[in-house]
Amino acid sequence: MRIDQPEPGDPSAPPAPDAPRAPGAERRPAAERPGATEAAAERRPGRDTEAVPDRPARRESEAVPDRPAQHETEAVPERPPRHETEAVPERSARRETGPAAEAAGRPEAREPVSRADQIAAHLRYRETVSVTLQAAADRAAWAQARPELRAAWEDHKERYPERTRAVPHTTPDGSWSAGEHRRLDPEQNTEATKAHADLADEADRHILPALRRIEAADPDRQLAGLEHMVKGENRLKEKMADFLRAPGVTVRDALDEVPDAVRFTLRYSAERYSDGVLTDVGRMKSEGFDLIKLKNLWHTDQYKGINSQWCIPETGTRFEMQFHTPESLDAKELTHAAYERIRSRMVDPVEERDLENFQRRVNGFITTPPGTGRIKDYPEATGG
Amino acid sequence: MAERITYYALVDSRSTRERPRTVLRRLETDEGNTDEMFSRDLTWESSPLLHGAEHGDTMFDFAEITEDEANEIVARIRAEAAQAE
Repeated sequence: MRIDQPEPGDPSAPPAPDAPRAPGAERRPAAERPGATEAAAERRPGRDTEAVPDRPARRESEAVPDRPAQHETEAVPERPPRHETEAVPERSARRETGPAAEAAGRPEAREPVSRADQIAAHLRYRETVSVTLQAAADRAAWAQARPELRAAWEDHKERYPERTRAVPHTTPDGSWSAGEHRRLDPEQNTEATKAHADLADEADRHILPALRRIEAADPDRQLAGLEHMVKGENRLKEKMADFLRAPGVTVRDALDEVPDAVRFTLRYSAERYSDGVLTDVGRMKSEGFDLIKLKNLWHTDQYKGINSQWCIPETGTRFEMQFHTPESLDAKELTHAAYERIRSRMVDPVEERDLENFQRRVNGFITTPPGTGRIKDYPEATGG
Repeated sequence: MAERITYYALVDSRSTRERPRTVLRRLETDEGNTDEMFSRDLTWESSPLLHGAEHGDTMFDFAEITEDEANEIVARIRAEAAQAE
Protein backbone atom coordinates (compact mmCIF):
# COMPACT_ATOMS: atom_id res chain seq x y z
CA MET A 1 0.00 0.00 0.00
CA ARG A 2 1.39 3.39 -0.90
CA ILE A 3 1.34 5.98 1.77
CA ASP A 4 -0.71 8.32 -0.34
CA GLN A 5 -3.39 5.76 -0.99
CA PRO A 6 -5.59 5.77 2.07
CA GLU A 7 -7.77 8.64 1.04
CA PRO A 8 -11.17 8.96 2.60
CA GLY A 9 -13.41 6.38 1.08
CA ASP A 10 -10.57 4.15 0.01
CA PRO A 11 -11.83 0.67 0.78
CA SER A 12 -8.27 -0.62 1.16
CA ALA A 13 -7.54 1.87 3.90
CA PRO A 14 -7.88 0.80 7.52
CA PRO A 15 -11.29 1.84 8.81
CA ALA A 16 -11.38 5.05 10.73
CA PRO A 17 -13.03 4.56 14.07
CA ASP A 18 -15.61 7.16 13.25
CA ALA A 19 -16.23 5.92 9.75
CA PRO A 20 -19.55 4.30 8.92
CA ARG A 21 -19.37 0.54 9.20
CA ALA A 22 -20.16 -1.78 6.40
CA PRO A 23 -23.49 -3.57 6.54
CA GLY A 24 -23.08 -6.69 8.55
CA ALA A 25 -20.30 -5.20 10.59
CA GLU A 26 -22.61 -3.29 12.88
CA ARG A 27 -21.58 -3.29 16.47
CA ARG A 28 -23.95 -4.83 18.90
CA PRO A 29 -24.83 -2.77 21.93
CA ALA A 30 -22.25 -3.29 24.62
CA ALA A 31 -24.83 -4.80 26.91
CA GLU A 32 -25.24 -7.70 24.49
CA ARG A 33 -21.57 -8.59 24.52
CA PRO A 34 -20.49 -11.28 26.86
CA GLY A 35 -18.35 -9.75 29.53
CA ALA A 36 -18.01 -6.39 27.79
CA THR A 37 -18.83 -3.25 29.67
CA GLU A 38 -20.21 -0.11 28.15
CA ALA A 39 -17.06 1.74 29.11
CA ALA A 40 -14.83 -0.80 27.44
CA ALA A 41 -16.95 -0.65 24.32
CA GLU A 42 -16.66 3.11 24.16
CA ARG A 43 -12.96 3.06 24.87
CA ARG A 44 -12.12 0.79 21.98
CA PRO A 45 -13.89 1.93 18.86
CA GLY A 46 -13.22 -0.05 15.76
CA ARG A 47 -11.83 -3.00 17.62
CA ASP A 48 -14.61 -5.40 16.81
CA THR A 49 -13.43 -6.03 13.31
CA GLU A 50 -9.72 -5.38 13.83
CA ALA A 51 -9.08 -7.88 16.57
CA VAL A 52 -5.88 -6.26 17.78
CA PRO A 53 -6.06 -6.30 21.55
CA ASP A 54 -4.17 -3.58 23.33
CA ARG A 55 -3.73 -5.10 26.74
CA PRO A 56 -1.08 -7.70 26.23
CA ALA A 57 0.23 -7.53 29.75
CA ARG A 58 -2.91 -9.09 31.11
CA ARG A 59 -2.75 -11.93 28.66
CA GLU A 60 0.80 -13.01 28.97
CA SER A 61 -0.08 -15.61 31.53
CA GLU A 62 -2.86 -17.01 29.42
CA ALA A 63 -2.28 -20.01 27.28
CA VAL A 64 -2.54 -19.35 23.58
CA PRO A 65 -5.94 -20.73 22.78
CA ASP A 66 -6.42 -22.84 19.73
CA ARG A 67 -9.85 -21.78 18.83
CA PRO A 68 -10.41 -18.95 16.41
CA ALA A 69 -11.80 -15.59 17.24
CA GLN A 70 -15.11 -15.04 15.58
CA HIS A 71 -15.66 -11.68 14.07
CA GLU A 72 -18.94 -10.09 14.84
CA THR A 73 -19.82 -10.24 11.19
CA GLU A 74 -19.67 -13.99 11.46
CA ALA A 75 -22.32 -14.03 14.15
CA VAL A 76 -21.60 -17.29 15.96
CA PRO A 77 -22.62 -16.34 19.45
CA GLU A 78 -21.60 -19.66 20.99
CA ARG A 79 -18.01 -18.54 20.46
CA PRO A 80 -17.87 -14.85 21.22
CA PRO A 81 -14.84 -12.91 20.01
CA ARG A 82 -12.20 -13.80 22.50
CA HIS A 83 -10.67 -10.38 22.66
CA GLU A 84 -13.97 -8.92 23.69
CA THR A 85 -14.30 -11.27 26.58
CA GLU A 86 -10.72 -10.52 27.50
CA ALA A 87 -11.10 -6.76 27.33
CA VAL A 88 -12.31 -6.81 30.91
CA PRO A 89 -10.93 -10.11 32.15
CA GLU A 90 -11.94 -9.62 35.71
CA ARG A 91 -15.54 -9.67 34.59
CA SER A 92 -15.24 -12.28 31.90
CA ALA A 93 -18.13 -14.66 31.93
CA ARG A 94 -16.93 -17.68 30.02
CA ARG A 95 -20.25 -19.45 30.34
CA GLU A 96 -22.91 -18.33 27.96
CA THR A 97 -25.53 -16.69 30.10
CA GLY A 98 -27.79 -13.69 29.94
CA PRO A 99 -27.96 -11.68 26.76
CA ALA A 100 -25.45 -13.88 24.96
CA ALA A 101 -27.49 -16.98 25.59
CA GLU A 102 -30.57 -15.15 24.42
CA ALA A 103 -28.75 -14.09 21.30
CA ALA A 104 -27.79 -17.69 20.67
CA GLY A 105 -31.43 -18.58 20.49
CA ARG A 106 -32.17 -16.11 17.75
CA PRO A 107 -32.59 -17.59 14.30
CA GLU A 108 -30.45 -14.94 12.62
CA ALA A 109 -27.52 -15.83 14.90
CA ARG A 110 -27.36 -19.41 13.65
CA GLU A 111 -26.08 -18.75 10.15
CA PRO A 112 -23.59 -21.44 9.18
CA VAL A 113 -19.91 -20.57 9.04
CA SER A 114 -17.85 -22.33 6.41
CA ARG A 115 -14.78 -24.35 7.32
CA ALA A 116 -12.64 -22.01 5.25
CA ASP A 117 -13.92 -19.02 7.20
CA GLN A 118 -13.24 -20.80 10.45
CA ILE A 119 -9.67 -21.58 9.40
CA ALA A 120 -9.11 -18.03 8.23
CA ALA A 121 -10.45 -16.65 11.51
CA HIS A 122 -8.28 -19.09 13.41
CA LEU A 123 -5.17 -17.96 11.57
CA ARG A 124 -6.03 -14.31 12.11
CA TYR A 125 -6.53 -14.93 15.77
CA ARG A 126 -3.27 -16.79 16.17
CA GLU A 127 -1.47 -13.95 14.39
CA THR A 128 -3.08 -11.43 16.70
CA VAL A 129 -2.04 -13.37 19.77
CA SER A 130 1.46 -13.77 18.42
CA VAL A 131 1.81 -10.04 17.69
CA THR A 132 0.44 -9.14 21.08
CA LEU A 133 2.75 -11.45 22.97
CA GLN A 134 5.75 -10.32 20.94
CA ALA A 135 4.95 -6.67 21.59
CA ALA A 136 4.69 -7.36 25.31
CA ALA A 137 8.04 -9.15 25.26
CA ASP A 138 9.62 -6.24 23.35
CA ARG A 139 8.28 -3.73 25.84
CA ALA A 140 9.67 -5.78 28.69
CA ALA A 141 13.07 -6.06 27.00
CA TRP A 142 13.20 -2.30 26.51
CA ALA A 143 12.16 -1.61 30.10
CA GLN A 144 14.93 -3.92 31.27
CA ALA A 145 17.59 -2.37 29.02
CA ARG A 146 16.70 1.24 29.71
CA PRO A 147 18.48 1.71 33.07
CA GLU A 148 21.65 0.17 31.66
CA LEU A 149 21.54 2.47 28.64
CA ARG A 150 20.99 5.50 30.85
CA ALA A 151 24.01 4.45 32.88
CA ALA A 152 26.03 4.08 29.67
CA TRP A 153 25.18 7.65 28.76
CA GLU A 154 26.24 8.86 32.20
CA ASP A 155 29.53 6.99 31.70
CA HIS A 156 30.00 8.68 28.34
CA LYS A 157 29.53 12.11 29.88
CA GLU A 158 32.14 11.30 32.51
CA ARG A 159 34.59 10.05 29.91
CA TYR A 160 33.99 13.00 27.61
CA PRO A 161 33.04 16.06 29.66
CA GLU A 162 31.10 18.39 27.44
CA ARG A 163 33.10 21.23 26.10
CA THR A 164 31.77 24.68 26.66
CA ARG A 165 29.16 25.17 24.04
CA ALA A 166 29.06 28.23 21.92
CA VAL A 167 26.37 30.50 23.28
CA PRO A 168 24.17 31.83 20.51
CA HIS A 169 23.95 35.58 20.64
CA THR A 170 22.95 38.65 18.67
CA THR A 171 25.64 41.28 18.36
CA PRO A 172 25.07 45.07 18.45
CA ASP A 173 25.05 45.27 14.66
CA GLY A 174 22.10 42.85 14.59
CA SER A 175 23.96 39.82 13.30
CA TRP A 176 23.71 36.46 15.05
CA SER A 177 26.33 33.81 15.71
CA ALA A 178 26.77 30.52 17.54
CA GLY A 179 30.35 29.39 17.43
CA GLU A 180 32.86 29.54 14.66
CA HIS A 181 30.72 28.29 11.78
CA ARG A 182 27.19 29.44 12.43
CA ARG A 183 26.46 33.00 11.50
CA LEU A 184 23.55 35.08 10.20
CA ASP A 185 24.04 38.64 8.98
CA PRO A 186 21.71 41.32 10.38
CA GLU A 187 19.21 40.99 7.53
CA GLN A 188 19.15 37.19 7.76
CA ASN A 189 18.80 37.37 11.52
CA THR A 190 15.86 39.77 11.31
CA GLU A 191 14.12 37.55 8.79
CA ALA A 192 14.74 34.43 10.87
CA THR A 193 13.42 36.08 14.04
CA LYS A 194 10.24 37.17 12.30
CA ALA A 195 9.80 33.76 10.65
CA HIS A 196 10.10 32.03 14.02
CA ALA A 197 7.40 34.22 15.54
CA ASP A 198 5.10 33.68 12.54
CA LEU A 199 5.58 29.91 12.71
CA ALA A 200 4.78 29.80 16.42
CA ASP A 201 1.62 31.78 15.76
CA GLU A 202 0.51 29.56 12.89
CA ALA A 203 1.22 26.43 14.91
CA ASP A 204 -1.05 27.65 17.71
CA ARG A 205 -3.84 29.02 15.60
CA HIS A 206 -4.09 26.54 12.72
CA ILE A 207 -2.01 23.41 12.97
CA LEU A 208 -2.55 22.36 16.57
CA PRO A 209 -6.36 22.65 16.48
CA ALA A 210 -6.47 20.46 13.36
CA LEU A 211 -4.20 17.89 14.95
CA ARG A 212 -6.32 17.90 18.09
CA ARG A 213 -9.30 16.96 15.93
CA ILE A 214 -7.28 14.13 14.42
CA GLU A 215 -6.19 12.98 17.86
CA ALA A 216 -9.79 12.94 19.07
CA ALA A 217 -10.77 10.52 16.29
CA ASP A 218 -9.00 7.61 17.99
CA PRO A 219 -8.30 7.37 21.71
CA ASP A 220 -5.77 4.58 21.16
CA ARG A 221 -2.92 6.99 20.39
CA GLN A 222 -1.90 10.43 21.52
CA LEU A 223 -0.06 13.54 20.50
CA ALA A 224 3.15 13.58 22.51
CA GLY A 225 5.69 16.22 23.37
CA LEU A 226 3.55 19.26 22.65
CA GLU A 227 5.79 21.30 24.92
CA HIS A 228 8.39 21.03 22.14
CA MET A 229 5.94 21.90 19.38
CA VAL A 230 7.91 24.95 18.26
CA LYS A 231 11.65 24.65 17.86
CA GLY A 232 13.62 27.19 19.88
CA GLU A 233 14.55 30.34 18.02
CA ASN A 234 18.27 29.73 18.33
CA ARG A 235 17.92 26.11 17.21
CA LEU A 236 16.08 27.29 14.12
CA LYS A 237 18.84 29.79 13.41
CA GLU A 238 21.53 27.14 13.92
CA LYS A 239 19.83 24.89 11.42
CA MET A 240 19.46 27.71 8.93
CA ALA A 241 23.08 28.71 9.40
CA ASP A 242 24.23 25.14 8.73
CA PHE A 243 22.33 25.04 5.45
CA LEU A 244 23.46 28.54 4.46
CA ARG A 245 27.00 27.15 4.25
CA ALA A 246 25.94 25.23 1.13
CA PRO A 247 26.53 26.91 -2.23
CA GLY A 248 23.82 29.18 -3.59
CA VAL A 249 21.46 28.97 -0.60
CA THR A 250 19.53 32.12 0.29
CA VAL A 251 17.96 32.86 3.66
CA ARG A 252 14.55 32.32 2.05
CA ASP A 253 15.68 28.89 0.83
CA ALA A 254 16.87 28.05 4.31
CA LEU A 255 13.64 29.15 5.95
CA ASP A 256 11.51 27.29 3.43
CA GLU A 257 13.58 24.16 3.75
CA VAL A 258 13.58 23.69 7.52
CA PRO A 259 10.70 21.23 8.01
CA ASP A 260 10.71 20.86 11.75
CA ALA A 261 10.55 24.39 13.13
CA VAL A 262 7.03 23.23 14.07
CA ARG A 263 6.84 19.53 14.88
CA PHE A 264 4.46 17.03 16.38
CA THR A 265 4.54 13.40 17.41
CA LEU A 266 1.81 10.79 17.35
CA ARG A 267 2.49 7.80 19.59
CA TYR A 268 0.92 4.37 19.08
CA SER A 269 1.20 0.97 20.66
CA ALA A 270 3.32 -1.38 18.55
CA GLU A 271 0.28 -3.55 17.80
CA ARG A 272 -1.70 -0.61 16.40
CA TYR A 273 1.21 1.26 14.85
CA SER A 274 1.08 0.48 11.14
CA ASP A 275 -2.68 0.68 10.69
CA GLY A 276 -2.71 3.76 12.89
CA VAL A 277 -0.08 5.60 10.85
CA LEU A 278 -1.78 4.81 7.55
CA THR A 279 -5.14 5.97 8.90
CA ASP A 280 -3.73 9.16 10.39
CA VAL A 281 -1.90 10.08 7.20
CA GLY A 282 -5.30 9.91 5.52
CA ARG A 283 -6.85 12.01 8.27
CA MET A 284 -4.17 14.68 7.92
CA LYS A 285 -4.86 14.89 4.20
CA SER A 286 -8.56 15.19 4.97
CA GLU A 287 -7.76 18.15 7.21
CA GLY A 288 -6.29 19.87 4.14
CA PHE A 289 -2.58 19.34 4.78
CA ASP A 290 -0.36 18.37 1.86
CA LEU A 291 2.12 15.55 2.36
CA ILE A 292 5.54 16.65 1.10
CA LYS A 293 7.77 13.86 2.26
CA LEU A 294 7.56 10.72 4.36
CA LYS A 295 10.54 8.66 5.49
CA ASN A 296 10.12 5.21 6.94
CA LEU A 297 13.22 5.02 9.14
CA TRP A 298 12.55 1.72 10.88
CA HIS A 299 15.34 0.07 8.90
CA THR A 300 18.02 2.55 9.97
CA ASP A 301 20.35 1.86 12.88
CA GLN A 302 20.59 5.20 14.68
CA TYR A 303 16.93 6.22 14.67
CA LYS A 304 13.63 4.35 14.66
CA GLY A 305 10.29 5.76 13.56
CA ILE A 306 8.57 7.44 10.64
CA ASN A 307 9.05 11.15 10.03
CA SER A 308 6.99 13.18 7.61
CA GLN A 309 6.87 16.72 6.29
CA TRP A 310 3.58 18.49 5.72
CA CYS A 311 2.54 21.81 4.29
CA ILE A 312 -0.39 24.17 4.71
CA PRO A 313 -1.21 24.82 1.04
CA GLU A 314 -2.56 28.34 1.62
CA THR A 315 0.55 29.65 3.36
CA GLY A 316 3.27 27.20 2.35
CA THR A 317 4.16 26.67 6.00
CA ARG A 318 5.87 23.37 6.64
CA PHE A 319 5.68 21.28 9.73
CA GLU A 320 6.81 17.85 10.77
CA MET A 321 4.85 14.89 12.08
CA GLN A 322 6.72 12.00 13.66
CA PHE A 323 5.09 8.62 14.16
CA HIS A 324 6.48 6.63 17.08
CA THR A 325 5.85 3.79 19.44
CA PRO A 326 6.41 4.57 23.13
CA GLU A 327 9.71 2.70 22.93
CA SER A 328 11.01 4.40 19.78
CA LEU A 329 10.09 7.80 21.21
CA ASP A 330 11.86 6.91 24.43
CA ALA A 331 14.94 5.86 22.45
CA LYS A 332 14.88 9.11 20.50
CA GLU A 333 14.78 11.09 23.73
CA LEU A 334 17.51 8.96 25.28
CA THR A 335 19.83 9.60 22.33
CA HIS A 336 18.93 13.26 21.83
CA ALA A 337 21.81 14.62 23.87
CA ALA A 338 24.25 12.40 21.95
CA TYR A 339 22.82 13.72 18.69
CA GLU A 340 23.12 17.30 19.90
CA ARG A 341 26.78 16.73 20.75
CA ILE A 342 27.46 15.43 17.25
CA ARG A 343 25.60 18.34 15.70
CA SER A 344 27.57 20.84 17.80
CA ARG A 345 30.72 19.90 15.84
CA MET A 346 32.65 20.26 19.08
CA VAL A 347 33.49 16.58 19.45
CA ASP A 348 36.59 14.84 18.17
CA PRO A 349 36.28 11.87 15.80
CA VAL A 350 36.83 9.34 18.60
CA GLU A 351 33.96 10.68 20.68
CA GLU A 352 31.85 11.06 17.57
CA ARG A 353 32.26 7.38 16.81
CA ASP A 354 31.35 6.51 20.42
CA LEU A 355 28.27 8.70 20.18
CA GLU A 356 27.17 6.98 16.99
CA ASN A 357 27.74 3.59 18.59
CA PHE A 358 25.67 4.66 21.58
CA GLN A 359 22.82 5.65 19.26
CA ARG A 360 23.08 2.28 17.52
CA ARG A 361 23.14 0.41 20.80
CA VAL A 362 20.03 2.17 22.11
CA ASN A 363 18.10 1.69 18.90
CA GLY A 364 19.19 -1.93 18.71
CA PHE A 365 16.69 -2.61 21.49
CA ILE A 366 13.79 -1.16 19.55
CA THR A 367 11.73 -3.70 17.67
CA THR A 368 10.07 -2.74 14.42
CA PRO A 369 6.29 -2.97 14.78
CA PRO A 370 4.53 -5.43 12.47
CA GLY A 371 3.33 -4.15 9.13
CA THR A 372 5.66 -1.16 8.73
CA GLY A 373 6.73 -2.50 5.33
CA ARG A 374 3.35 -1.37 4.03
CA ILE A 375 4.25 2.23 4.82
CA LYS A 376 6.27 3.41 1.84
CA ASP A 377 8.48 6.45 1.57
CA TYR A 378 6.89 9.42 -0.15
CA PRO A 379 7.90 10.36 -2.71
CA GLU A 380 9.14 6.86 -3.41
CA ALA A 381 12.86 6.57 -4.07
CA THR A 382 13.70 6.44 -7.74
CA GLY A 383 17.05 4.76 -7.39
CA GLY A 384 20.48 6.21 -7.06
CA MET B 1 44.81 9.86 6.21
CA ALA B 2 41.31 8.64 5.54
CA GLU B 3 40.99 4.90 5.00
CA ARG B 4 37.71 5.25 3.24
CA ILE B 5 35.83 8.17 1.72
CA THR B 6 32.16 7.97 0.82
CA TYR B 7 30.51 10.74 -1.20
CA TYR B 8 26.90 11.87 -1.01
CA ALA B 9 24.87 14.23 -3.14
CA LEU B 10 22.79 16.64 -1.06
CA VAL B 11 19.35 17.13 -2.60
CA ASP B 12 16.92 19.74 -1.30
CA SER B 13 13.54 20.80 -2.65
CA ARG B 14 15.16 23.15 -5.17
CA SER B 15 17.67 20.65 -6.55
CA THR B 16 17.61 17.16 -7.99
CA ARG B 17 19.56 13.93 -7.82
CA GLU B 18 20.97 14.78 -11.25
CA ARG B 19 21.83 18.34 -10.25
CA PRO B 20 22.26 18.32 -6.46
CA ARG B 21 22.82 21.33 -4.27
CA THR B 22 26.29 20.16 -3.23
CA VAL B 23 28.37 17.19 -2.10
CA LEU B 24 29.22 15.78 1.33
CA ARG B 25 31.92 13.28 2.06
CA ARG B 26 32.46 11.01 5.04
CA LEU B 27 36.08 10.35 5.92
CA GLU B 28 36.56 7.17 7.92
CA THR B 29 39.78 6.50 9.81
CA ASP B 30 40.86 4.34 12.73
CA GLU B 31 40.15 7.30 14.99
CA GLY B 32 36.60 7.83 13.79
CA ASN B 33 34.53 9.62 11.18
CA THR B 34 34.48 13.18 9.93
CA ASP B 35 31.82 14.64 7.64
CA GLU B 36 32.59 17.51 5.31
CA MET B 37 30.49 19.53 2.90
CA PHE B 38 31.72 21.35 -0.19
CA SER B 39 30.71 24.83 0.92
CA ARG B 40 29.80 28.16 -0.60
CA ASP B 41 33.41 29.23 0.09
CA LEU B 42 34.47 26.48 -2.35
CA THR B 43 36.26 24.58 0.40
CA TRP B 44 35.53 21.36 2.27
CA GLU B 45 34.31 22.17 5.76
CA SER B 46 32.87 20.22 8.67
CA SER B 47 29.11 19.72 8.46
CA PRO B 48 26.48 18.11 10.71
CA LEU B 49 23.91 17.65 7.94
CA LEU B 50 24.60 13.99 7.22
CA HIS B 51 24.33 13.16 10.92
CA GLY B 52 21.02 14.95 10.97
CA ALA B 53 19.65 12.67 8.27
CA GLU B 54 20.91 9.62 10.14
CA HIS B 55 19.04 10.81 13.19
CA GLY B 56 15.71 11.25 11.42
CA ASP B 57 16.03 14.73 9.93
CA THR B 58 14.07 14.72 6.67
CA MET B 59 15.27 18.15 5.51
CA PHE B 60 17.50 16.73 2.78
CA ASP B 61 17.88 13.57 0.80
CA PHE B 62 21.36 12.13 0.54
CA ALA B 63 22.29 9.83 -2.32
CA GLU B 64 25.56 7.96 -2.27
CA ILE B 65 27.60 8.79 -5.37
CA THR B 66 30.94 7.85 -6.83
CA GLU B 67 34.09 9.92 -6.48
CA ASP B 68 33.87 10.81 -10.18
CA GLU B 69 30.32 12.04 -9.77
CA ALA B 70 31.40 14.06 -6.73
CA ASN B 71 34.22 15.64 -8.71
CA GLU B 72 31.82 16.61 -11.49
CA ILE B 73 29.49 18.32 -9.03
CA VAL B 74 32.38 20.18 -7.39
CA ALA B 75 33.59 21.32 -10.80
CA ARG B 76 30.11 22.53 -11.71
CA ILE B 77 29.82 24.51 -8.45
CA ARG B 78 33.24 26.08 -9.02
CA ALA B 79 32.28 27.04 -12.55
CA GLU B 80 29.00 28.61 -11.40
CA ALA B 81 30.83 30.58 -8.71
CA ALA B 82 33.38 31.84 -11.23
CA GLN B 83 30.60 32.86 -13.58
CA ALA B 84 28.81 34.76 -10.83
CA GLU B 85 31.88 36.86 -10.03
